Amino acid sequence: MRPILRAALAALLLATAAVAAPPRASTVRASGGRVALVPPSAPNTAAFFVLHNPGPKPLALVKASSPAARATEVHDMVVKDGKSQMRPLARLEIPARDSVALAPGGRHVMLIGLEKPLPKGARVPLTLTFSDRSTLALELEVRPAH
Amino acid sequence: MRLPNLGFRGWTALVVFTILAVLLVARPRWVQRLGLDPGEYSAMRPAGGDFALAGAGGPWRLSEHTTEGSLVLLYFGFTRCPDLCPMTLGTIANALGELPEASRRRVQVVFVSVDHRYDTPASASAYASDFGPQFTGLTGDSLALARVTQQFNAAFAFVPLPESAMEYTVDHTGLVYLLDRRGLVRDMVPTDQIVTDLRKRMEKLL
Repeated sequence: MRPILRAALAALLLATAAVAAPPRASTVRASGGRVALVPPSAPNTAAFFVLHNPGPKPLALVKASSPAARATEVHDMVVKDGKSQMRPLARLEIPARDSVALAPGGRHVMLIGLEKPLPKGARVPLTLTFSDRSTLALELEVRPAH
Repeated sequence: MRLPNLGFRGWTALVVFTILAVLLVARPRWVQRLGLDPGEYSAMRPAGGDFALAGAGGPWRLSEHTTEGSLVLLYFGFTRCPDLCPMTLGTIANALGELPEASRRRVQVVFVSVDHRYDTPASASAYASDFGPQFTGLTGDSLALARVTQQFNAAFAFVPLPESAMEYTVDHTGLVYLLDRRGLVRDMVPTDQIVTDLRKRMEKLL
């Protein structure tokens, strides 16, 4: 085989390995996680938790995914002029050695288009991806959010 | 230039009215703090009144479902709302559970979905009734909803969310209204205060 072909093949193998490599477990920790209990007829619900970044570098939550819903997004809720407004957040910053809370009436991971109703006590898998491409897999219990 | 001849009472009235007018227009901070601010007050306490929308069983009018001594909790929201709406209705259900049976029976909760694009009387009703037997879910077309929200100085707005799977959201007033049997507003509790305040403010009216 010509050296140039061999190099190309090696590069291809390396690239495949890099893509196929299992995602790195994140240093970010989550606590107090739960999924809000909503009526069976409700099409959406929200997940709440506190994220702690123990590292020396700031990180950001950039993606959330769950098999329980058609789409999973990070949203923020603010009250402006007496009106409650919900908006998607492209990224949620977690400063170095600090925590960020996702809590009822504020930031949450929204599960949009539930595949099936989530009764009290059900467990919902949720995978969070951070700005350093590391991931954190959670399994959250469904219960009244407040 | 001669001053107009208003007499003592005329001048006193002029001075008093001038001070009131200045307070009304300038609305200094201390007036707002005292809760005497007329602008804030009228914005905060709409008249309310009887209203008609649609529920699972068809047309629904408030005054046909209340009796002497009824207390009605009214909340505007939408069933696709994942956070605030279930939290608010859940907190109301908890507060009702803490009331003595006799008082609880006088309370009704009316959830009005302002998302007329997605919700139907049936979906609003199914959603609300899951929080307890006292919960009624209603909605209406955009005209009916505009009329009712106006009565309560409430607001809602459809906001497109092009980057979200939700496609749009509905901004809405975050208040729980406490109404008498005729729909007149007796009190209003912001949703961020219902956990601490709702029960005692219901008890005051029961």
